[in-house]
Amino acid sequence: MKKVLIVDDEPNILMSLEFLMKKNGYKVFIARDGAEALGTVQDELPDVVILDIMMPEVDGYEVCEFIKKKVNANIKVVFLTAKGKESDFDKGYQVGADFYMTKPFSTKKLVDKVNELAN
Amino acid sequence: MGIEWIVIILSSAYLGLLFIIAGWAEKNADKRWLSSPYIYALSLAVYCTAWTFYGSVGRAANQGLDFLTTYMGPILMAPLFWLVLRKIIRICKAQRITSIADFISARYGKSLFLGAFTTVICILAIIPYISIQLKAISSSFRIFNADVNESRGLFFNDSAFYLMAILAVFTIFFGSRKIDTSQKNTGLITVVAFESLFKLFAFLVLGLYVTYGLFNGFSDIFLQSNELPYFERLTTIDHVDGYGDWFWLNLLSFFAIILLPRQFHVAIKENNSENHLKKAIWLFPLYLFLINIFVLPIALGGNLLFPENAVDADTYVLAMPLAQGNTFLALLVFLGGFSAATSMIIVSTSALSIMISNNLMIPGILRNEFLSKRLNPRLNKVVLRGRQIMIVVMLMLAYLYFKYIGQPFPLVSIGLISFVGVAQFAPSAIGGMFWKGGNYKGAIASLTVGFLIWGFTLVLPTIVNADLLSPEILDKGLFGVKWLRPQAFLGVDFSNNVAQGFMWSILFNGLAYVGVSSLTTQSIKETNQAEVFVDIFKYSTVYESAIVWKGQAFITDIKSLLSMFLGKRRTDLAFERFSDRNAIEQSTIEADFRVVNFAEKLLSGAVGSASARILMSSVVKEEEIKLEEVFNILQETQRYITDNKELKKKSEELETAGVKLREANEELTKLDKLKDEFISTVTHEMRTPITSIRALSEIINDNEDLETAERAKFLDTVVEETKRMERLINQVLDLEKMESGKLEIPFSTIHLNDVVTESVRKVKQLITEKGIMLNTNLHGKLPLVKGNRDRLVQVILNLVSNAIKFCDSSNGEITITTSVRNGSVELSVSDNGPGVPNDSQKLIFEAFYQARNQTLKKPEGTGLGLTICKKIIDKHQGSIWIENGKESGAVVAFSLPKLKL
Amino acid sequence: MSKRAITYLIVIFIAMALALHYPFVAVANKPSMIYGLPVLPIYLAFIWLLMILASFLVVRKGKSDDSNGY
Repeated sequence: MKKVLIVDDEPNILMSLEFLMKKNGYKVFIARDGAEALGTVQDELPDVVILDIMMPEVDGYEVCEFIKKKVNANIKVVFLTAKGKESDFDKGYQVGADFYMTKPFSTKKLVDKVNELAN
Repeated sequence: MGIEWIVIILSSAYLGLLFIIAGWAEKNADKRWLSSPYIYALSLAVYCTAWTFYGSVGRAANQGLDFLTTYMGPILMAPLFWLVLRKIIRICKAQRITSIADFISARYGKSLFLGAFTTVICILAIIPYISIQLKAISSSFRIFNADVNESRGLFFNDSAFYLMAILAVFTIFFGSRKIDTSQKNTGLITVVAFESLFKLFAFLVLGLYVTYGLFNGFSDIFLQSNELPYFERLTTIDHVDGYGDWFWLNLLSFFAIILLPRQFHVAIKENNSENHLKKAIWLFPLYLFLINIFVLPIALGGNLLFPENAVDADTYVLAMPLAQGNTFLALLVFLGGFSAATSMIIVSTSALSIMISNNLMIPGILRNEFLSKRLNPRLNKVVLRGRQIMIVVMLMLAYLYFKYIGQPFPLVSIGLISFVGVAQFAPSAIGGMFWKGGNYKGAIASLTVGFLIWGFTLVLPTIVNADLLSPEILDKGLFGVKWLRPQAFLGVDFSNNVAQGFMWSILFNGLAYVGVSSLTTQSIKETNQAEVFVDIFKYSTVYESAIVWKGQAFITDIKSLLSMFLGKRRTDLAFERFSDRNAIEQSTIEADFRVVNFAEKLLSGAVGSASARILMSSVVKEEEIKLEEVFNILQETQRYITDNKELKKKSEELETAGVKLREANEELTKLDKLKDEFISTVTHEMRTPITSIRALSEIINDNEDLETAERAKFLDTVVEETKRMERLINQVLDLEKMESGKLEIPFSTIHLNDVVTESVRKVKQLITEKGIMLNTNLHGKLPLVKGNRDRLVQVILNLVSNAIKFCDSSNGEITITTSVRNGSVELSVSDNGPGVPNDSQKLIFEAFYQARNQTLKKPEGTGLGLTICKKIIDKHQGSIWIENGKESGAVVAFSLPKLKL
Repeated sequence: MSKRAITYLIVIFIAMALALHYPFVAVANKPSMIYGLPVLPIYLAFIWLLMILASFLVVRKGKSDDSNGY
């Protein structure tokens, strides 16, 4: 069973993402902020991380960089964020993201992308 | 000890005193009274020399009221001081002119020749004049010591020689210390003023002694002398020749009071303020009145006491107290005469030395290639040393004149001949100051004609009298032509030779000036100077820009030239100030006309205008200027002066407008930026609820097999998120209304405690659900405020809901307090949460502060709440702030002004 | 000094210049005595003092005025 880590500080978004991933057969882990995510990634080594950017203390970029450099470059990272500017995209790919998706998002597209990356 | 030794010791002591006074004054030059109008008026009295002191009485004893002509001219000029002297002072200040020779040279295009010519006339006229001062002192010495015929001895036996030497030292010390002659010599002027007071005092004491001691008052003297055969002649003006002589001699002294080099020196060069003239206008005539009031009584008294010319009338003032055995008074009188002589000698020699160095020496050096190459690098030293040598040389010349030529003449005649000599400057100097048409050629003609007639009618006879020339020329005339007899020029024989010589010389002189000036044209440079001289009051304020100049020069060249004479420090300082005042960049390389004129002016102060011109031309490449250009520029200047003020005002207005515009622009861009930021933040904030709504809706849509409970939970969340959207939208609209001032908030008189009660009722349920304790701590006698009840409820609700968000999750406690502080009504909401970092306490009221600041744990809400609260409180003229509580938690508080009854 | 004060000073000059010269001075140019004093010296001294007084009054009055006139 593939593992997915969802990192977001909005409880309602977490709730919907958790439902979506579980339904598509993933083992789901949840982190409510960046610092928590760092721990979970090291402990669980998920296949895919769905990552918000704007979070207190440690933001999404830092988490992504940490995963790719310090943990395992093979862990796939999908940014799911309200930041929709061109420069935000660029920065996201710069730190090693595999996909960048803006909120609000299409559930179908997200699930497809996660499936693609997980295999 | 013989009386001659007492005299010598006294006069030495007196000279020592002068040194002390001068030294003290130089050190205390900043004392205000040393530059007071009284000192100035007294310094003008250098006009009264030994000639006044001894000679007036002698002249009165022999010729009667004639002696008064020397003072009638000056007192006639006194009311015109403001008109004439002030103008000369202003011109000299503007152009840094320091002598009469400089003045004439500058007026006619800074002509070297005129400067030199004027200087030569001055030397020829003044040296004999100085010599009669020596003579007066020498003969007064002899009165005390009749046995020794000193003046026939070798000069090292001669007291006059030693006197001369001491005066030379004094003048060098205090008259030629500074190279820049436009600086003031406070020591010299203080001494001159002191001597003026002293000689007046001595003469008044003597006058009182004679009138009331030896006689019984004025009428006694006059009644007694009424018996003398020549009494009528001495107390009236001769009916035949008298009126004519009277007029011409008055006119002579009228000019002399301004044109004599020493008068020019004290009245113009050493003038500190034009306003001093106001005192001098009446004080100077008063001085002259006092020093003259006893002349006639003393003269007549002397005639009564020493009948049959037993004593030379020039020495009456000493002979009278001595004859009565009053040695003490005689010594006082002697010192009075001594002071009159010394002040004249000191001022005259220092004035002449400056003239000679500026108009003869420096131009001579500069024009001689050999000399200028050798001396140029240390020209400043050469100038100073040269001036000092000139002082010695002139005193030597005066001494020699006294010893070998001047002996046979009475004091008065030589003095008057000197007067006539300097009076020759009147047409070119005074005329040139009021008449623009006077030109260089006219001035040359005027001085030449005046000089020749003066020499022929007045100087020549003195040479004959000294046995240096055959007396034939006096009897038979030049080349045997009868109407060319010096003392009966053109066949007209006056009783008074001086009056006659003056009349002819000044008439032909004036005629030549006007005639030649009218028939010839001015050069451009002259036109320029004529314009400045005549219209000085128009130009003096913007003098630097009023001068026409075309050419090229480099500032470094000019600076190095100047620092040679003024020293590097003063030059740098002067340039710095000038650049500041005229807004010239420090880095400018090429000098413009203002700089050139300024530098030339500074230099003029040190070496005179003609020499300054030559020196400047060595570093400046000048171009010829056409006449039309001159007029254009002068007209422009005039217009510039009038426009200047207007222009300045306009540009200031423009500047402030510019500043305002820039500020407005900055404000706008700032607002623009804020707006952008606001919009992006609002849209960002909207994304969060929309994201949930979309995701959940899609899930519900895609999963028909959802459990009922789960479906209900999802749908509830959608509704909740929709409400969040609605709140956000409402708040944005609210904020926008407040920001643009569209939102009307009706005020009424309310009690803030009531508002609290209402708010508490509204949140009660929420509070209880969250298990938080809400305390109220309301002030019992809270004053009323003006405000809007609903909006204040909104503020309190907002604060409370914030507090709920940040409260300790298990033991939440919120306190609402009302109080009175500093005349305002205050309300605070405190919680027991984590508190707010100090540096965020102000920012927190900005829109979406939370959204932008990721270090804060994101609470529920829109991020606009506090911003709206602040707006509402602002509308109430109150203030809102946040601080940390005493123990823990945050306190958000606002205050409202108390209602004024 | 005010223009008016300057005008007064010029008037003083002209009046003085006239009073001290022919023909005005001839009026006092007599060998007689008053109160034991010769007439002409008294006349001259009187004019002289009058001039000092007049100038003093004019200048003092003009003191408060701006000095930047003509």
